[in-house]
Amino acid sequence: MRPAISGTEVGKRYRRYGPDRPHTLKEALVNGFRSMRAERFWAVRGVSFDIQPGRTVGLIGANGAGKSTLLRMIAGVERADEGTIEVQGRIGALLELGAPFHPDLTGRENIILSSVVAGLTRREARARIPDVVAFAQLEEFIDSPLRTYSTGMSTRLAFSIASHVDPEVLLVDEALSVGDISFQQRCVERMNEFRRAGVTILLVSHDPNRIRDLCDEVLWLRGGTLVAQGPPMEVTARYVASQAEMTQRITPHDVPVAYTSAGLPLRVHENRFGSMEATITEVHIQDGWGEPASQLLTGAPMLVEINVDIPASAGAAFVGATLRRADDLICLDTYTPVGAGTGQARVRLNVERLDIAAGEYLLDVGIYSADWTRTYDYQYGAYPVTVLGPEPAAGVMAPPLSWHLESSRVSR
Amino acid sequence: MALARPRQRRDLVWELIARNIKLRYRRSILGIAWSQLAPLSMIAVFSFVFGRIVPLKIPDYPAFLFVGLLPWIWFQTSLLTGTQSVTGSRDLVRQPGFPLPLLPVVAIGSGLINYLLALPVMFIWIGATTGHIRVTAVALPAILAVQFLIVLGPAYLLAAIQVTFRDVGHIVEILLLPLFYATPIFYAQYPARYHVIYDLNPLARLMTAYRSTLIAGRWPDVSVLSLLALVGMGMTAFGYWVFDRRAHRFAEEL
Repeated sequence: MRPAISGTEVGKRYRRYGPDRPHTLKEALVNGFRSMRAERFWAVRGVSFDIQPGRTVGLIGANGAGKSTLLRMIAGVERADEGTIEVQGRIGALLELGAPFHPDLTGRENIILSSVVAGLTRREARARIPDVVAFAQLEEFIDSPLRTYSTGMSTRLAFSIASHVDPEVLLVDEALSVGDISFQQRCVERMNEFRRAGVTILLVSHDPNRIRDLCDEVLWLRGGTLVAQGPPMEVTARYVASQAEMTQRITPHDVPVAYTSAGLPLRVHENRFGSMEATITEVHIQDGWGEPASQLLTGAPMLVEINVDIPASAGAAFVGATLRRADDLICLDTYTPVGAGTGQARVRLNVERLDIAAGEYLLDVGIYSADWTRTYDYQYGAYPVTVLGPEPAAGVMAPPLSWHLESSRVSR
Repeated sequence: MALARPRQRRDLVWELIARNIKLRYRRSILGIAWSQLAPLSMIAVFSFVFGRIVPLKIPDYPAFLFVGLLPWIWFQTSLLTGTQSVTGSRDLVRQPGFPLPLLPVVAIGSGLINYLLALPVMFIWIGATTGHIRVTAVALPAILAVQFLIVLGPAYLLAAIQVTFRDVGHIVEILLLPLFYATPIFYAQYPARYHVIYDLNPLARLMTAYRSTLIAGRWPDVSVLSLLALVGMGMTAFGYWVFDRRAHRFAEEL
């Protein structure tokens, strides 16, 4: 069968202009056209792949690996400088570039305009408005100008339009990460509908879990070249391993040993990893009264105070905490975004009820770059937590519960 | 779907033009009346200056001005918006499969719609002041088509250059002023020794055609119009060639 998308030795070269690149004819005349010369670099090179019709394929890779460049070339927005890309069928795309929305037009007018731009006739576009609006759940706002919409609402509308123009090839770039959980869920359902209908889907993400859940096949890009194409489990596992390896590689060796508040040593390459561009300076585990505690009661609150130092150079970041049982079963995994230039700050995690069974647990904490591709400081297994309960129990959960007996015999 | 392509293209052009028109008049009190006010105020000023202060002695001078000013305004806005048509459409340029060569066409088309919106007032004015509306006015679409062709080539060329050099728009603005005076819009003809301007300026010949059909009641000179159409096609072919060669770089340069 003819592949739905096929690339042969695809290469794309960008120009990196010097700082004195002229932007006007006047500057060009004054500085001479010589300054127009630019340094060139390959964002993608030598990438060959075939994607069969009806497959859902994930494109994974760190930032700057060329994922978006490749996607833009497949979408036909940019032309490859080397090699060829062939796409069979109408392309629906949800790229990070956004829909051609205009803030002064109403939601309805924008639906028609975007649908026609995406390749429908006006009549087809009109006929689809009710479905598009219903999917985006914007019935009440559809005749208001788009400038009154929140970012989430615009994104919902954009995804809804892109998924209603009958694409034969659907390109999705990280778009699923916006919107609330219920909308994300409907996007996933909608993508599954497309899969059943035989639409070829190319999904770009740096989240290996998402790729593993949704895709039949994975392409992995690194530094503009294709590292692997294959089954999701295998390729994402290799990708995760290489990310871990990268974390090892960027972890400096000359970091002095630090001690936790409980007196445990933190040694790099042992229980501490990351580039140290941003650091976790102290972690305190407290009970519901804010008192330091290494032992907590089942069902009681747990407060975790994480003191961080995130210099402006590190940009925006995520601070995360994972609670795992001594046998590595993850019981809780949560994170929060922190803005760029936070500096020294105290991040508090408030677990209102620690409804887990009594036993020995470990808390891991970490700071990551906002795109999750770089680990700044990850402290592994350095914060033990003992949970005490009324009785030692098997299982993980220990919610408040009670048993009742109701006899089925009718009493006389 | 494949069969619907030409219709789809047409719908796309219309939707983009409709968007431009809507956006231009939305959130303004007078709405579409604005399109009439600009030419009307210019006509009032020129009528006063060249009717009273420095009389040019042209019969039915306001009607004469009306007929000349409307195509000029169309030409001027087309050239300016055409130059900005790619740089001002970042979102569209980045849509997969979007036909970029439509952008200058949409810019000129939007200007044409504004011209057409002003036509009823112009005809009423001509009818009221000269006493009759000429049958030859039915030839107007042909002249408009030729003017469309004349603007299209430069619009393609300028739109492509504007992507690299953002000051081209300002240069166009500056060049439009001498061109306005080099075109017989508020005067009727050149002194004989400057006739070379008439020979080289396609707009001057267009003005003659507009006036003969709309006011004098003479059919336009077919050979002149055909020649202009040929020149227009040649310029369009060249402009399109340049535009097309540059088009694949637009998305990354915006």
